[in-house]
Amino acid sequence: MTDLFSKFDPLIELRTNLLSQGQEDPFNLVMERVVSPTEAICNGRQTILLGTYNYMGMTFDPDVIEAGKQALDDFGAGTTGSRVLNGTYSGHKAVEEALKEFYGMDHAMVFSTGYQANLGIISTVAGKGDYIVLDIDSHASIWDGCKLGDAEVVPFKHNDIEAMDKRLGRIPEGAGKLVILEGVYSMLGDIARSRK
Amino acid sequence: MDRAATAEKIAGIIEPFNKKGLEITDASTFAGDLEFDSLTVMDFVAAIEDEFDIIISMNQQAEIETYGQLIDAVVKLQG
Repeated sequence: MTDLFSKFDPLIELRTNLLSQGQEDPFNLVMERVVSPTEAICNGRQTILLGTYNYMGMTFDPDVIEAGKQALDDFGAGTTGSRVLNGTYSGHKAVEEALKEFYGMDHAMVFSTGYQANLGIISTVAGKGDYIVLDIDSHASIWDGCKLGDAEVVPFKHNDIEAMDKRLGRIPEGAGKLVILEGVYSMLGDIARSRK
Repeated sequence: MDRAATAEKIAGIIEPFNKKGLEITDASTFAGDLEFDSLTVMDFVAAIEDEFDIIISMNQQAEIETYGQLIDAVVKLQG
């Protein structure tokens, strides 16, 4: 019998076969103990962490941990829910003010993940009838944000500024345009040619 | 440009992408018959866009499954 989940059958079979051959299940890695910002005990083994979100080395910063504990005491373990409906915690507002100042911008908005930031901003800024011109190797969150906003999505060849320029020139006059490049491409690890 | 002239130009563009040398008809599908993967689609669409100086957005690409539909879309996009 086929149903909604039938399309996953090949995937399930592949996984079952791999596991039966003694392969470790990559989707079931458990971090039992974090030893340092770059090391943890995973599935009982000492493991080097290369993919976690500790870009700034702040995970064990004493000031950050102290502030986190204080925030738990003062505000509890929840969120306000939607900031539109219930307001914003003063600490979150302070982060936005600090980022605004650091980047010398007029406004800043903090999202809980980078994925959410791209989803929220792109889908709001570029809507139906607008055009988004973006690098083909953009992160999945950018593509999802484009889809959510219902704009016309026009990709160009990776880091090809000429291809980008040609496509920009073909957009109907008067239409809203959003160009999306990444600073460092997460797919490839290379850098946008933004100086051109 | 009328449909016949457009079709002739597209036939020239698709040639290097038709790796298996299939006979292409209006009913040929890009994903099924021609086995275009996403990278091939991107290169092919870019070649078409540059030749006709048009934009075929991802939204429009989603509607194009067959070779005939592509020709129709390009005729329409040229206005």
